[in-house]
Amino acid sequence: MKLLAVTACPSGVAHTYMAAEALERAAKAKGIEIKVETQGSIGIENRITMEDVKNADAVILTKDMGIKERERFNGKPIVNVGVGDAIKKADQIIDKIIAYLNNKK
Amino acid sequence: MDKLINRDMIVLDMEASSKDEVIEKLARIIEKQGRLIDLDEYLAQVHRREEEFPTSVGFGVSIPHGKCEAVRDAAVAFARLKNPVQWSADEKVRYVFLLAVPEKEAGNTHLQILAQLSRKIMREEFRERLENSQGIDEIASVLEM
Repeated sequence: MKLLAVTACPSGVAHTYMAAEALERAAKAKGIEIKVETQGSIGIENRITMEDVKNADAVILTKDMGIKERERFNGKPIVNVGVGDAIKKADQIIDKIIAYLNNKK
Repeated sequence: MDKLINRDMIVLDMEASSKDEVIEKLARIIEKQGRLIDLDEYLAQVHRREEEFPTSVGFGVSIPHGKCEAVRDAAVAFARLKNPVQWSADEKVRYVFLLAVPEKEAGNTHLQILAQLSRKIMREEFRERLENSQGIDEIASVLEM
């Protein structure tokens, strides 16, 4: 299972990175591969490539700000979450996606 | 380049009875360091941000912040409160990082440090060290940025 995520927040200073860290840690704890792109005030980091998208099972996008280049993910299952939920409930978000993907099999 | 945080911007056992009081005390510390152009305008921006959505992020931590033209130089002030204060409808907070960032921050250095700090806050080891540090020097080394 491979997940992708893009995080962003209005000021782009703190929450973007907290959410990225929370999702990475939650996925890692469950042995799931995840790549998280941050779209903050520093710009885009850890950019998700089309190759990444091709191999991904699902995509998590934070919904507090418009995500740049969102069209990259067309055709993939997308989960929209608040950046605050990504920080506080990363565990549950990943669990839900795992359950959804396992159901689909 | 000045460090984002120094010993004078850290307060342990701060006594405060409300969120607003904590924010104001920390903002005054940043002002004393000469890093604000306009304290009131900065405070107004921080409060606007809180009203939009409170910046408590779980674990008893909050990161109020203002990115605006009232900030001269980027800064972080940190308080460990003696008693937790109510931060949002459902969260109490004991560790507060107040961030000040100029609207047009020149270069990425400070922003990268703030991004790193944000990531650290999500790590349990880091939060335990904030909790268990005994004095300003110890906290300062934990927060070394």
